[in-house]
Parts: sequence; C-alpha cells; structure tokens
Amino acid sequence: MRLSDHKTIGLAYGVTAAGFLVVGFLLMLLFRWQLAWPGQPMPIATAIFGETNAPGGILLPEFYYQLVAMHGTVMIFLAVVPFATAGLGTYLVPLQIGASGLAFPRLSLLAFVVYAAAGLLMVASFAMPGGAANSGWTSYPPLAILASSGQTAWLAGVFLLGVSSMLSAMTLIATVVAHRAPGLWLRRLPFFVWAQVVTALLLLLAFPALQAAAVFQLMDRVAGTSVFLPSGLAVSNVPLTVSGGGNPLLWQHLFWFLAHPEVYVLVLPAMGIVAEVLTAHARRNLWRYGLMVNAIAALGGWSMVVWAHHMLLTGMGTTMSTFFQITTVVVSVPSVILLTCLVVTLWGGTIRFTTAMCFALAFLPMFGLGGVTGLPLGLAPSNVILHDTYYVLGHFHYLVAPGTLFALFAAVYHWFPKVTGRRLDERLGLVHFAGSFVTMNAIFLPMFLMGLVGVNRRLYDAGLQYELAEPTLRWNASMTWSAVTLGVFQLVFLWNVVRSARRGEAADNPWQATTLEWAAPSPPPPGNFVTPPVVSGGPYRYDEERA
Amino acid sequence: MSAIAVADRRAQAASTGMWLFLASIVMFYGSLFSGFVLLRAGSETWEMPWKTGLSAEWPMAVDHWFRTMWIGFAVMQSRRLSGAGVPVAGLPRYSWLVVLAGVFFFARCVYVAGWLAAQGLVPSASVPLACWYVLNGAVAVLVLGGSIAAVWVALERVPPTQRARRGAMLQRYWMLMLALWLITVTGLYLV
Ligand code: HEM
Ligand SMILES: [Cu+2]
Repeated sequence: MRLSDHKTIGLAYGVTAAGFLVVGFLLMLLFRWQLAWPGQPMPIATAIFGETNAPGGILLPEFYYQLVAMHGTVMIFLAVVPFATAGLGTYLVPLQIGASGLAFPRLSLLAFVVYAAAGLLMVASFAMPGGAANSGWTSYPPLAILASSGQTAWLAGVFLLGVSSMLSAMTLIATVVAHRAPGLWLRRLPFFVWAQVVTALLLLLAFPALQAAAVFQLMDRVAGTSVFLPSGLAVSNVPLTVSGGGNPLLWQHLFWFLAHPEVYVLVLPAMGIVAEVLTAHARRNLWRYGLMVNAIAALGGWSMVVWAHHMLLTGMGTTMSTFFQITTVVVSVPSVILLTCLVVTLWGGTIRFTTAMCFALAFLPMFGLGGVTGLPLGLAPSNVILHDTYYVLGHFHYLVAPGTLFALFAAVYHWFPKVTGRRLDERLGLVHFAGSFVTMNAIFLPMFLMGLVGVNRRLYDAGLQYELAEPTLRWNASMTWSAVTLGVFQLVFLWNVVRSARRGEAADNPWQATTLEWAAPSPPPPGNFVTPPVVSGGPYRYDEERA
Repeated sequence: MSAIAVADRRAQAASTGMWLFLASIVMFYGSLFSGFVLLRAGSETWEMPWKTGLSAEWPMAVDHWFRTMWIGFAVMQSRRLSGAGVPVAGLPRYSWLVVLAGVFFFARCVYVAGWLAAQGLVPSASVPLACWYVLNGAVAVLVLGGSIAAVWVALERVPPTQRARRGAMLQRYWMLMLALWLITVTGLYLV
C-alpha cells in the first residue's frame, strides 16, 4: 500500500470518519439517557466522567451541553461530511473516471493529516479545563465568546477543517478536469462524479466564510476584541470589561453562509450514491441524466443564497426576510427534480432487493420527509412557531440520519466488493437494514410532534419544567431505547464488515454494474486499471440489456 | 500515454488547482472584508485613530506608498518568472526578488502594527481597530505565504519550462495580493 495512493487515503478517511461516527453516537447515547430520565443517576457515570461532570452519577447541565455541542460537531464536521466527500470521493472518483490516481496525491494526504489532527484536537478538548465546546455546534456569540477554553480548540479545529477540505476539494476537481480517461466526455461522467464535483466546489467556496468567522471569534476570545460583542453587555448583572460595539449577528451570517451549504455537502453525495445504486440494482439507466446534472449544479449554486432562513427571527427586517424566504422556496425545485428523477428511474426496472438497494430505496422517502418538513421552517409565519423546537431536530435528522446515513450504508454495501474483493453478507445486511429503518423512525418521528407541542431543543431536562411538555415526557424513554437498539443493530453491521472482509463470498462485480470503477480488478491494484480504459459511451448501459 | 500528454495533464491540473485555490482565498478574504463592511455600516461612529489627529505623527501616505510599492514590485518580478522575454536560466534570480519584496511588505506590516500597539491602539481598544488588525494581518500572512512559495520556486530543480509555468502561477497569486491590498487600503483608510 502506497501512502499517497488515492485508495489508501480514501480508506483512511473512511475508517477515521467511521470512528468519529461512533464517537458522535456515544455522545448522543449519553445525553439521550439524561433526556429519558432527567436528573436520575446514571450508573458508572461518575467513574467515567469524574465528579466535576457527573457528581453522584448525575450529568451536570454544563456537561450535557458539551455532549450536545460535540455530538453535532463530530457528526457533521468529523464523521458524515468527511466520509461522504473526501472518503468516498478520494477512493471512487479516480476509479470512476478511469484515472490511475489523483492530480495532487501529496496534497490529498496532507488534507487527511490536517483533518485527523483537527478532529483529535476537538475531541481531546473534553480534557481541557471547563471541558469541550458547549455553545452548540453553531457557536453563537456572545455565549461562545464567554465559554470555557474548549471553545478555542473548537475554533482552531474548524479553521483546520477548512484548510483540509480546501485541499481535498482542489484535488478532486483538478483530478476530474485533467485525468479523465480518453473518450470520457463530461456528459459521460457517472452522476456520482458530478455530485462530488459540485460538493467540492461548495466546500471550497463556502468554508472560507466560517474560517473568517473563526478568526474573528478567536480574536474576541484571545485578543479581547468585540467584533461579535455588542455594547453594554452584562453577565449576571456585571458589565463586561470589553469595548463593545460589535455585532453578534455577523457571526450568524458568516456561520450559516457555510453551514447551509454544508447541509448540501451532506445531501449531494448521498444523491450521487443513490443514483449509482438504484441504476445498478434496478437495471435501469438514470432517467433524464442531463436534467439531473443541471439540477444538482443549480441546487449547489442556489444553496449559497439561502443562508439567512436560519435567522428569520433575528429581526433582520422584512426585505431581507422576504428575500430569503423566496430563495428558500425556490431551492426546493431542483431537489424535487432530483428526487423525482431518481424515483422515475425505478419505473420498469428489474429491482433486486439487495441490502444496498434497500438502503438506497429507504433514502428516498426519508429524505423526502426531511425536505418537506423544511418548507414550513423556511417561511417566517410558521418559523415563528417552530424555530428552535424539537421539530427542527426532527427535520434535519431526517435529512442527515435516515437520509444521508442510509445513503452511506448503501455505498458501503455497494462498493465493499470493490474495496475488498468480497461481498458483505446479505442476510446480516437485511437485518441491519430492517433494524435501522424501524429504530431511526421510532427516534425521529416523535420529534416532530414534540416540536409542534412546543418543546424547545437544547433543554437539559427535556422540558420537565414546562407544563406544555408534560404529555411528551414519557416518549423520551422509548426514543432512548430505540437509540440503544439502533446501536445494537450497528454491531451486526460491524460484525458483518469484519467477518466479510476476511471470509465473505469472493466477488469481482457482483452487481454487474457498468460504471468504470468496476472495469478495474477488485480490489484495484496500484495504478488501478490493468489496461488504461478508453470510453465509448455513457456510464449506464442497463436499458441496453433489455433491448 | 505519451510523455507529452502526461505533462499536459499535469499542467492542466496544476492550473485548475491554482484557480480554485485563488477562489477560496477570495472567499476567505471576501468574508473578512464583508464582516468589516457590515460592522462599519452598522455603527454610527467609526473612530479610526488617523481620523482623530494621529496622522500628523504617522506618515500614513508614505506608509501606503511603501507597501503598495513592494507588492507591485513582487508582481512585476513574478511576471518575469513566467519567462516573458527573459533567458530561462536567469529565472531563480527573479524569484529571490519576489521573496525579498514580500518579506519587506510583511516586515512593514509588523512594524506599523507594533507602532500602533505602542500607542495603546491595540485590537481590543475598539471594533475599528480590531478590523484594522484583522484585515492587515490577513494580507500580511497571505503575502508571506507568497514569499514562501517563491522560495520554493527558486530552489526547486525542475526543467526551465516547468519553472516558467510555476512562475506564471505565482504571478497570478501576486496579482491577487495586489488586488486584496488595494481593497484593504481603500476600505480602511479612504472610505
Ligand atoms: C443516529 C442517531 C442520532 C440520534 C439519536 C441523534 C439525536 C440527537 C438529539 C436528541 C439532539 C438534540 C439534543 C438537544 O437539543 O438537547 C441532537 C442534536 C444534533 N444532532 Fe443528532 N442524532 C443522531 C445522529 C446525528 C447525525 C448523523 C448528525 C449529523 C450528520 C447529527 C447532527 C446533530 C446536530 C447538528 C445537532 C444539534 C446540536 C446542537 O444543538 O448544537 N445527529 N441529535
Ligand atoms: Cu439552511
């Protein structure tokens, strides 16, 4: 294994991101315990987290907020995004375009090292005085500026992640531009490659805004400036000794300028994966390939002008508010086009219900639900009611957990034979799928209702002190048990991966897929292709089977 | 694949990568700058020290002229690096001139910042000053980065045509630096 081989780097990304996924999941289990049984001692908590975080086994609010903030941070920045973009992209894109490697292998390796270092820094900050960042994954000032030193580690980590994603995005796009096999014109690229290119562009153009914001916030925390601190700020009735005169909303603008596109960074690769899996497992060419490519480019581009729909309640004025409500409604058009094309692709297909296919099929309604529930959030009148409630949590988790995560599982089942030369066990796979599907919905569906009732998110006690939350409290226990069960089903998956990697049924191209990566041996040797491929047609040749 | 085709692909990839890199710098600096614009637009008073009498003690115009000149010089020398009308064997010399110009610029930034800080005009004194330090600091660091890249171009042992290509890319970077610097000056001092 050469260190700068794209397959090595892609795998390293995949394994590291999967490790962070486990971390993010465990953090969630901890705070889900607290939500289900607020204030009740958790056995062994004191032993693990010490008296300062969990005296007598009871999680302190300060610690709860660290867990929540770091769950969001780890899941998005360290787990799902790196897996979906740099992980899958670095491994698969050179294969799918018939290249022998990356344009800048050393930069790609550097990107991985920076990512891993940033991740370790952020997670290790749990050991800093005052613990890890505790101001939400959104890190809104003034709170974040007054927070303990873990927030500084968070900011440094985010800055480094920006550097890392810039490097890997550059590498990916340059590879696609310059290293395609002869005959592989742009309109013959697999849809997954398009999805990766658009995603890379988004990361490259949007992440710098968060880096700039991080620089400003670091100045506020370390150099005592007031870029995000307004005049006259007092904490517990004690005036702060800063000059003031800054603007907390500036952070929100810069943060969401990245963080909204970041959502599409999760979703677009997922769409790419689902397109590849649906076509191969339903033996159907992609319906309206050209339209889909245009739609995904439009979706990516347009996602950069909707950011302030996260700020409808900040009093930014009706002109701004109207503008962002309109752009938000418009952005749903290309999403609907994509989803429709994917569904119509199935029409008349010969569907094989493999595990990969099940996950990809489940992605469609789960993503649909997440998308549809977003519309009321994008309109100010309904946003007033829903903002910052559990409804929001339900909405975006449907996009990222049963949505994107299911697509990532589909990717693992689909491309595992490519990476290892062996198949994952289908029976264990279907158990994994069924269990995950049921438990995911059991966790997240109730969140919509809780939100409609009016329960706020980020409540340490799940709303115990509010009368309105009373009827929803008892749902929390079943949600937590569902989360635990979800974890158990992931153990099945883990076992399947470990066992099949060594003893699974040998397979070279078990799905008879027609995209270029399957033309290389499985697993691909250094340099990928035995004879450099020459392309003479489109990526999907399934309809031709029927003719 | 023939050796020429491989070299072509490399060049195409490198050039694409450079454009993307520049785009991300534009976004980074643009975000800092629009932060500044938003802060400035949102506050009634904007007390930059040189508007309140300091400029007599501090030859602001000379200072700008100095720093603009150094960047302009770096752009000119990196232009030669791309091989336009210059014997390729002499190219490394121009790289060193680029390095020198960048280092002078950086040193001048540090000097001015130190001078201001010594008067008690530190970043935490006011939001305008915070903006001054952040915007100047960002340009200074990016310029220093350009100097380091120029050192690399000077020392790397590659065929002359390849070095010329690197020089052309370096030149694009320095053009951007000049643009950023002029925007900074306009924003911070003139508007
Ligand atoms: C798979 C099982 C998951 C469960 C059961 C879960 C559960 C939760 C819950 C209950 C909260 C709210 C805590 C509170 O507001 O007090 C939360 C917050 C959050 N989750 Fe998840 N989550 C899961 C996966 C994910 C994934 C895959 C992502 C992202 C890719 C994610 C991203 C977030 C974010 C960004 C927040 C907001 C954190 C904040 O308020 O700052 N979660 N999660
Ligand atoms: Cu958004």
